[in-house]
Amino acid sequence: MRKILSIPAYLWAVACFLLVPVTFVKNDAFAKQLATLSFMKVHPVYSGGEVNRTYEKDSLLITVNKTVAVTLVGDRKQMVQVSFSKGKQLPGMIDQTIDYDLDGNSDFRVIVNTSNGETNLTPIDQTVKSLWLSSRLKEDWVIRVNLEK
Amino acid sequence: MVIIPAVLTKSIIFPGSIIGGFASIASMLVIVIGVSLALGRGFCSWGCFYGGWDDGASRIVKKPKIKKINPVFRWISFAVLLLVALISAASLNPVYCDWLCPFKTVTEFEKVTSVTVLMKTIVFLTLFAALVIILPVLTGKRIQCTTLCPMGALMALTNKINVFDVRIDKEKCSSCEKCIAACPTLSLNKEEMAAGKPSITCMKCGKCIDACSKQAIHYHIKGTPVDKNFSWARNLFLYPAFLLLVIFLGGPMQSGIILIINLIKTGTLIN
Repeated sequence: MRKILSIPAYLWAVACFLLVPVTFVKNDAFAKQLATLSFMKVHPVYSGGEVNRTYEKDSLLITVNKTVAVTLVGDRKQMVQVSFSKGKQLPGMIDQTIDYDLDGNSDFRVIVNTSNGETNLTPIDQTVKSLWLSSRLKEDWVIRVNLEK
Repeated sequence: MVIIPAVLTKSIIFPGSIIGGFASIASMLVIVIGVSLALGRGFCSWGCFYGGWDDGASRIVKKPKIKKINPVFRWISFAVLLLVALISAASLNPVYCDWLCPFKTVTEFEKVTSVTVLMKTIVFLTLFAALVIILPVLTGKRIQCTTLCPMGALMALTNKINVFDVRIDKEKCSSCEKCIAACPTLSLNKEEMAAGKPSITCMKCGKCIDACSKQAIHYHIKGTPVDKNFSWARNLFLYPAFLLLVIFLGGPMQSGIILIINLIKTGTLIN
């Protein structure tokens, strides 16, 4: 009986020798499969949240996402992601006022120099606190703004 | 840092991309699962380049100044893992990477531009100096790996799915306790020797095996007889361990050699 039990143990041990190179050589393929499993969901803090509204202004396609709480407990601290796109080429300068909560009033003004990434945020609404992130994302320019409600 | 927040929020929280980019979450998870299955916590002694710093420092002095260390310290890393995971989940931030990782001293060193960054830098430098250099030199133990590293604590838990372990033959053991002195992670004490195996914090580095003059300690494959086929178990563990070492560190070593060749040829490290 002990001998029979030893067989799968030795086989598993031998398989470990193959498992090490397979883990690294096939890492990309396994990682993609893992990421596409139905229960794998990225937290909105990192995905940017759901799209709230998309509109065109000054020949820019502007996407404003829904606000996302950036802490697990409570929802006082939030952020909103806004992305700008214009076909395959972004303009050198983006200067837009954004109404993130769709109340008809502008909440902040953002000026982005897309050639060097320099970004200037001017809060208009008191819930707008600071710029969290400003970055190129493929053909879009994405900003994230910290909010405090 | 990923698992507890993932369970609480039913989603992945980590400042990295799910696939692609530097250290993507999915790739890291695949490596953790693959290495846990193949070597378990053996990763810490055979693959971890950060652990290498600790190990190197612990080998500098042959006779350590501090000889008696309470083995209770080995459980601190589990507390660190739990705390870091909970705080990361609550703040949705990678707290360990942001505030505690001593190896920020040798990688991703941030330019000091604010008081917050200055405070973080002081924490990183202090922990690096104390846990990676000074205490390992004084004790001959891998103090950072033993008392702080949450990744090591996680690997100790995932080690359960691995087939290799270390066993002590109680009949051959003369209780000389050389293995206790040799263990770099405080994984052996009298109780564990009596039980015939080290604690779950064992990194399977093999130092106790080398230290034992009675050949009473050996690698073992779970499910096989404890008193037979030692060389089979040893070889079946060491081959994948060396393979991991070569694959994991081959890339950085290759880059290092290219940098040295560049330095010799051009007088600069920059391409």
